[in-house]
Amino acid sequence: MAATTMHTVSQAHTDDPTDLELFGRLSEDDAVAQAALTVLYRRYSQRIYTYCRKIVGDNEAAEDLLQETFVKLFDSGKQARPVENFPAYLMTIARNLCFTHRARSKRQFVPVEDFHLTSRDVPYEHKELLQLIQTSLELLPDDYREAFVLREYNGLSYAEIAEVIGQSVDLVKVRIFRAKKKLREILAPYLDDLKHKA
Amino acid sequence: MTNDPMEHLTPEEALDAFLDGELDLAEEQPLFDHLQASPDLRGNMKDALAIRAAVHKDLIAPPSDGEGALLSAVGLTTGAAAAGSAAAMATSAPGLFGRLLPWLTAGGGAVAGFVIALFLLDGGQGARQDMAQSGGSDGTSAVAGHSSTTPPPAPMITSAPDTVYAVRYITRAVPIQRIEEPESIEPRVTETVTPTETTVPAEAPMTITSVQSDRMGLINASRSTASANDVRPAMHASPGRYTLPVMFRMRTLASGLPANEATPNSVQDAVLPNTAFALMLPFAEGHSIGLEMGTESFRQEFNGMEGDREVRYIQTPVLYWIGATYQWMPMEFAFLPGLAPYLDATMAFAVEQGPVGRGTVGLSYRPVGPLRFNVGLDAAALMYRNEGGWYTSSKWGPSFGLSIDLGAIR
Repeated sequence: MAATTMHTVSQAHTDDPTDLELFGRLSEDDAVAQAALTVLYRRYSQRIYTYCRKIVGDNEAAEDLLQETFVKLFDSGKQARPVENFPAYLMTIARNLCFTHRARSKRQFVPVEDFHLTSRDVPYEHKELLQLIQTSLELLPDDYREAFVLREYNGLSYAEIAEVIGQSVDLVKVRIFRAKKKLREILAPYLDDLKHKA
Repeated sequence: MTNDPMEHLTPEEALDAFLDGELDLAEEQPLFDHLQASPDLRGNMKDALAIRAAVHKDLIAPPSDGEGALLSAVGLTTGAAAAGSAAAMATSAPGLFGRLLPWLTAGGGAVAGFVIALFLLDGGQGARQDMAQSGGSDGTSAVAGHSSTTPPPAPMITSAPDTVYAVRYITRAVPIQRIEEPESIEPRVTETVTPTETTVPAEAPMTITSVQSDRMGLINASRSTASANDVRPAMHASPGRYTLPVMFRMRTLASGLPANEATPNSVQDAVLPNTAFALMLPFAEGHSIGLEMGTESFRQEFNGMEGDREVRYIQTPVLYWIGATYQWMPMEFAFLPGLAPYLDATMAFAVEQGPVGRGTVGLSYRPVGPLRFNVGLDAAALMYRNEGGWYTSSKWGPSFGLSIDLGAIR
C-alpha cells in the first residue's frame, strides 16, 4: 500500500526540518517559535483552510477556524505536548473546531459568494466542473463529505483519516467509496456530456 | 478469510482504492482484468480521474494576511514572517535609530510645537512691547496698519485703567467708520467701530484706540471712554490687546484597517499611530495654513508568484510624515454659534516612502474659550516606492480632533 500522505508531500525537501521538529521548536524562545510556526503555517494553511471551507461552507468562518487551529497548535507546542503523527494531529484540531463551529451555527444556506472559486486561471470547463463538485459535496452526508475532503483535498491516507475522525479504516474506506460513488452519480450527466465533447 | 480490509472489494471499490493508492498489490491484477473486460468500469475510471483533476485545481488559498494575523494572535511579532515574504519594509530604520524613531517623531513633534508656540508668543509680546514703546512715545495707535498724526504727549495715568477688551470671532467684515474727531479730545483717537457682534457695553460712544483684525475677522479692540487723560502708555495695556493667531491642532487620522482584521503589530507597536499635530496660522478670513506632522498606517499590497502559485503580500507599515496643511472654514452656522464646516488639505512627504496627500471635510465647534472640537471624514493617498516600482495606497475614515487657539489663552 503506497499512501500519499500530507506528511510525505510536505517534506519534499530533505534539508527542511520535519513537522515534528518544527512542532518541538514551538516551546523554545519567541524567535525560534515564530520561525517554526511560520513554516508550519505555510506548509499546511492551504490544506487546513480548504478543509475548513469545505466543512463549514463559509469563507469567513473558515478563515477564523484556520487561525484558531494554528493558535491551538501553538499552545500545544508551547506545552510540549507529545505528538506522533503531526498532520493527523493538526487535522484533528481543525476538525474539532469545525464541528464545534457547525454545532454552534447550523447553516441553513450558503452565500452565493462562497461558491466563488479560486482566482487562479482555471479553464472554463474545469470551473464549471468545480462548481458542480462543490454543489454536489453540499448534497453529501456530512460524514461522507468529510472523508472525501480529507482524502481528495488534504491527501490523507485512509489510516490517517481513521485517526483524525476516530473511526476504523474500514469505515473510512466505506465512506470514501460511497462519497465518490454518490458524486459520480450526481455528476454523471455532466461527465457524459464532457466525454462526448472530447 | 483474512483481516485485509480490501478483501471482498467490488471492482468499483477496488478502482477507487487503487486511485487512492490504497489497493494492495495482490488486488491490482484482478482490477486490471476487470478494466480490460468492462467498458463501464473504464468509464468510471475516467469519471473518477476527471473529478480528481478538477478537485486538485480547487485548492483554496488562505487569506494572504493570515500569517501576520496568526503571529499577532499568539503574541509573536511579524518580523520573521515579513522577512520571508514581502520585500523589506522601506520604513524599517536600522539599529538604535530605528527603535528610537517613533519616540523621536512623536516627542519631537510635541516639543517642536511647544517651542514654536512659545517663540511665536514671545515674539508677539516683543512686538507688542515695540508697539507699546512706539505708542508710548508718540501717543498714537496703529489702526489698520496706519499711524495717525502725532498727538501731544499723553499724561501719566493715575487712576485704574478703565478698559474693556472684546475678543470674539465673527464671520463677516466689521464696518469700520471714520468719524469726526471731537476737538476737545486728545489724543487724536482714530476710529470708531460699530461691530455688531463684538461685545460692547452700552455706555458712552466708543472710540477705539486700537483695532486689529486678524484671522477669521478676529477683532481685538480696546475701548476707552474717549478722554485724553485716559489714554495711557500702551506698555501697560493688557496682554489680550494683541493676540497671536496661532492654533495648535491635533487630530486622529483614518487608519484604513479593516474592522474584521487583527491590528497589525506595526500599528500596535507604534507611538500614537494615525495621529497628526499641526500649527496653524491664519492668513485671511477663514483661511489658515500650517505645518503638520504625523504618524499613520498605510496598507500596502503586492502581487507576485511563489512557484506556480499566485500570492498576494500585504504589509501595513507605520509612516512618519511632515508637510504643509491648509484649512478653509468658510462660515459659521447661524443656528449654533461656534459651529462651522471646514475643509482641510494636506500635502506631505512620508519618510523613506513618498508623497502623502489628504483631504478632510467636517464640522468644527468652538463652544467657548480657546478649544475647538473637530470631527470629519478623512481620506488619504500615499505614493510609495518598492523594488523600483511606484505603488499607491489609499484609505478613508473618520477623523477626530482638538484645536487650541494659543492666542486666545494669553
